Amino acid sequence: MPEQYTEIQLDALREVANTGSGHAAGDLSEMLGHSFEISVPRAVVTDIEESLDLLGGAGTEVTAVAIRVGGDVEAMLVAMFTPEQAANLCGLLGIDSDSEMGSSVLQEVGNVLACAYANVLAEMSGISWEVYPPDVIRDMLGSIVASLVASTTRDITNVLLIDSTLSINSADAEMSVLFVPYDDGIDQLLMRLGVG
Amino acid sequence: MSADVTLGSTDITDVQVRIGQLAATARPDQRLVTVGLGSCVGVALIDERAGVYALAHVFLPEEPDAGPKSGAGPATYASTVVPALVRRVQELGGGATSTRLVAVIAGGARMFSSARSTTADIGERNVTAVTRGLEDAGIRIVARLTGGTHGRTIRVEPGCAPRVTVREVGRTEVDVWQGLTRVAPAVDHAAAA
Repeated sequence: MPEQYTEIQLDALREVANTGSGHAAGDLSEMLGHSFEISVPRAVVTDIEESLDLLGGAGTEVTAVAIRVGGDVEAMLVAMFTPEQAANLCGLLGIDSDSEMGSSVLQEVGNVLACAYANVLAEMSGISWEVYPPDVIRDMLGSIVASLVASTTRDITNVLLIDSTLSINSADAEMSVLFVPYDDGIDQLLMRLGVG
Repeated sequence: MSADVTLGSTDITDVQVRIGQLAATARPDQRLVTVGLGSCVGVALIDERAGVYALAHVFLPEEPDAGPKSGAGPATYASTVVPALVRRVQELGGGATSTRLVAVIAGGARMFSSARSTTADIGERNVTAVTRGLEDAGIRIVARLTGGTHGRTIRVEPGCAPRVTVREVGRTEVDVWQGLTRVAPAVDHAAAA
């Protein structure tokens, strides 16, 4: 894994997040009947604690949908909501977010997101990306993100943080989307994106 | 980063122990806290007789074979955390013998079933490596809340009624270890043992 990424490499990863989240926003808008907006994605290299702070603080309680995508090159995609945002999102379909149905809705949101990223990544990298079944986790942000980082990289002083925000302004429903490549495939991914 | 809370008439200061870091205290008005342990493991070391308490926030089982390591905190790896903790306790006048030290560990959850199988068990490997480190140092583990699928917060409270608590999201805080209540003048519990 490179110790530092060049600005050109970070730009390429930002473009993955931008296009992936863009496609996901379109698909989710259709699914939920409300129009999603996306923020300008962030791609930075920072240490683990700073990452947690940037995402909202270790102790913040969140609901996360985590999905592994990939084959030869792999990544984790994670959608994170506050409990209130998850409730508002499920509420658009008249469903209680704490119910089993609510959990299914969040899983489906995660699926749509992961499929959108997988398609975009396949187009951009020429590598085929599979989508694995999602996990829905309600826990502290620190527990979720630190475990995610521990399972994808071994270097906590150079954590690659790629995230964007999808929101429905009219319904106060927002989620942050993390794209976390496994570090043993990042070189190949960057090469396939033309910035290796 | 620290926050002040008032407990009775005493001001207790929270000392946040962040990922890869460790902290020790001999002050009854300080509390050591680690928030959001997922696959990470919190290791508390206690010398009750000396009134010295320490807490570490372990991230990975061992150092990577290759690659950059600089900048990682002294408690990042389970394989090296125990000697670092013992040293810190000794600096504050505790841990004269390893038999006077006891440990409490919490964390090592498996947060993602969807992660790769080779890395999903990192929590379990953290717990195994920490346990081995404590065994090698001859330190007894008096309480453990490890594994499972939920994140945890661990608090080490020296105070006059020393205790270690663990809380999982959506559950109540539980005492996993309690020391003997200290009354003034201080009683030397160990003398009776």
